[in-house]
Amino acid sequence: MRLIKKYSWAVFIIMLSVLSCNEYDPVFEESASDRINNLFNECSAALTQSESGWDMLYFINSQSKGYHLIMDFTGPSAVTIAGRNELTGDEYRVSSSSYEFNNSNGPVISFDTYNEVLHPFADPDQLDLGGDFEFVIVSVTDSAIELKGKKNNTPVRMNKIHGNIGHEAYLNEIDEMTLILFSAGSPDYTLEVNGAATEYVFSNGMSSVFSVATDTATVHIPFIVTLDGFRLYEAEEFSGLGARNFGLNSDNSALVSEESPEVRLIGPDDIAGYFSGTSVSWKLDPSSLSPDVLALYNEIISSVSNRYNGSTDIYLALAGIPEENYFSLRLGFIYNRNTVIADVYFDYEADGPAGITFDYTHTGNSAGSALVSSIAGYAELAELISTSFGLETQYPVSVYNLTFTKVSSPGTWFNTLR
Amino acid sequence: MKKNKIYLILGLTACLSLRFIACTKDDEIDGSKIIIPGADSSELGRWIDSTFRVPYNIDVEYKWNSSDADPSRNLVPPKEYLVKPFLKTVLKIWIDPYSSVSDEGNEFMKDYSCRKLKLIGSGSYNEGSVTLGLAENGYKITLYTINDFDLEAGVSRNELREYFRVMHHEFGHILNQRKDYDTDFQNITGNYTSDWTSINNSEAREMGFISAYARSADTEDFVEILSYYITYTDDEWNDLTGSISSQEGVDFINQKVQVVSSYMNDTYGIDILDLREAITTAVNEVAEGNLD
Repeated sequence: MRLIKKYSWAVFIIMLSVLSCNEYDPVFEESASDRINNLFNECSAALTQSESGWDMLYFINSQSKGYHLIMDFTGPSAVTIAGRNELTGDEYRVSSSSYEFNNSNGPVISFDTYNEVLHPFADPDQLDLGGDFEFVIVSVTDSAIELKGKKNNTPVRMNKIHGNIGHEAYLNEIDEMTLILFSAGSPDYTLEVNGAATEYVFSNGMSSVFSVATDTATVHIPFIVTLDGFRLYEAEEFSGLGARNFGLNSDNSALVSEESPEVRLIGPDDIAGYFSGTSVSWKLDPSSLSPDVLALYNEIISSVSNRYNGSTDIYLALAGIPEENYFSLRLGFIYNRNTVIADVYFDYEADGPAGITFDYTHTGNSAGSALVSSIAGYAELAELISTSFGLETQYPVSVYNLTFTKVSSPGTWFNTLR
Repeated sequence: MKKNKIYLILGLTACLSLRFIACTKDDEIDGSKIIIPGADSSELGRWIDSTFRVPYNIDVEYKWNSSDADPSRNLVPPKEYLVKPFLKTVLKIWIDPYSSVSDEGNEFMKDYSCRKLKLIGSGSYNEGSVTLGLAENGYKITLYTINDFDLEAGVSRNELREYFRVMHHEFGHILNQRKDYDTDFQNITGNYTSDWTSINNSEAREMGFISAYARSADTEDFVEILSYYITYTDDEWNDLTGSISSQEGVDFINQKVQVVSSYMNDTYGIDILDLREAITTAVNEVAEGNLD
């Protein structure tokens, strides 16, 4: 027993000496509170030093589309937030409120008084969407801050706005990119990896939540349009490379992953085939018409204005009518609060992937048949279009526009927009 | 304010489902505890400091603080421009009347008021009802739906009365937690039940309860009687009790008023008729736009 006691004491003393002499290398050089304070300082400096503010790419939850909230941090606790979305009645709205940094759940930035642009996403007295207005700070750089919704764990990114651009103008640019990529009639986008198309097709982009069919289920991926493309709610898994941010390449032929450039989304390779299958209106763009087409365009607009005094929203378009297997030269306007749609019909045939021939049938719907003889220039334009055209687009990935150039006379051309 | 009407009519009756967190009698309040909140150097923060913290030792929290908010609920902070008018109304309809009828003057509320008044912009929604106020352990009162309290948009006298009845209800809990009332109170009608939502206010009154929610517990019954009595004018109170067809129901309610009246007088030196008059005057003035 005495021996055991003696050894026990020896072991105890050895352990003590080991413990007292052992030197631990600290994992962090600073204390936890110092690290958090430094992060706050870093974040505060980045936020307040941006002259054009920050764009918060906000998701309510993992099923919702994304929203742009444009923020100006005007002081250590003052912020102005601008937005334009369905919660602001699609009107541009600006609201000022306060924010603070706290350590309530790790480093947190909390928008702690009601802001008319941000808090409606969380307000149970409005739509009760359950969105966040407090965010855990994940990482900070001079140009981007990664956050996570404190309640919903939604990934939220803040991008520094570069250049001297007003907030409303910035939102207008986003809207323009939304039109280019996801307006009515926009194509599905096929995932391509290392130049080879995959089976994964990103469809339903107009809803701002992609649907991607797989062998077992349809996967839904919310996204938010950015200045040059879009950002997915979370990285996709189909490519195996985790692409998330996609931007238009230099010739607008693909949306290329910022993270893995070998991952791309591509649109239709047969422009004529794609155009032939659409049923949307391809409106003639009066700022981009050859002189002869522009003269007829102006004659038609003027004639409608004179004959139907007070008419508004007058347009000319090529419109697919799949049920009749026609394309029409559509003349539309609003008169006495009624929408008038006049169609004169063309048979059509694709000439390879970048050409199409229209053949004027001299028929149309009742409005078209009436107006083609009463509106100056309408019949002449129909005759002008009754020929073969070459097709080009400025945006091959989305075919947002189509320029029709007369094959027999390249000086005659017109540009259309979906 | 429209929404507030709905809340108040549907809400206060059914919805004082208020999860008034059980007020434990052991939680004695140290009235001398000095509240020293984090400095808020904004104009509003300084006004609150000089109007609530210094004279009444009440820390008003209007900025979002998730540390004591229920994370399971969707709530938002108040709109800042509504905070000052709301607090002026709190001062006028809740604090000033007590100060004016108590021999202790301002010291009464300094001693007995909650130590923390937390303001939430939205309602706090339950299954089928909305919580408008919450009293916790005699220390904190939380008031919801501040974003609906827009005096500029117009608030009727009845809306004001109902809103601040919640405040008086909550304060009644605090007074009870400081000093208990006669346990015989709970025997006047008995019949307390957690299934209080099964009947409406009119049916509850026939049974001797001033509201359906009063049936949920004797502690709620007591503060419902207090809050109704002092926020209703004499005529309104007579109309309310006059609408009860059961004489037994009226008698029960009158007995309860007597117990509440004695309690307030004997325990705190407050005459509830004087208090009612002071509150009536204040509500009328606020309804006319006079906040000062």
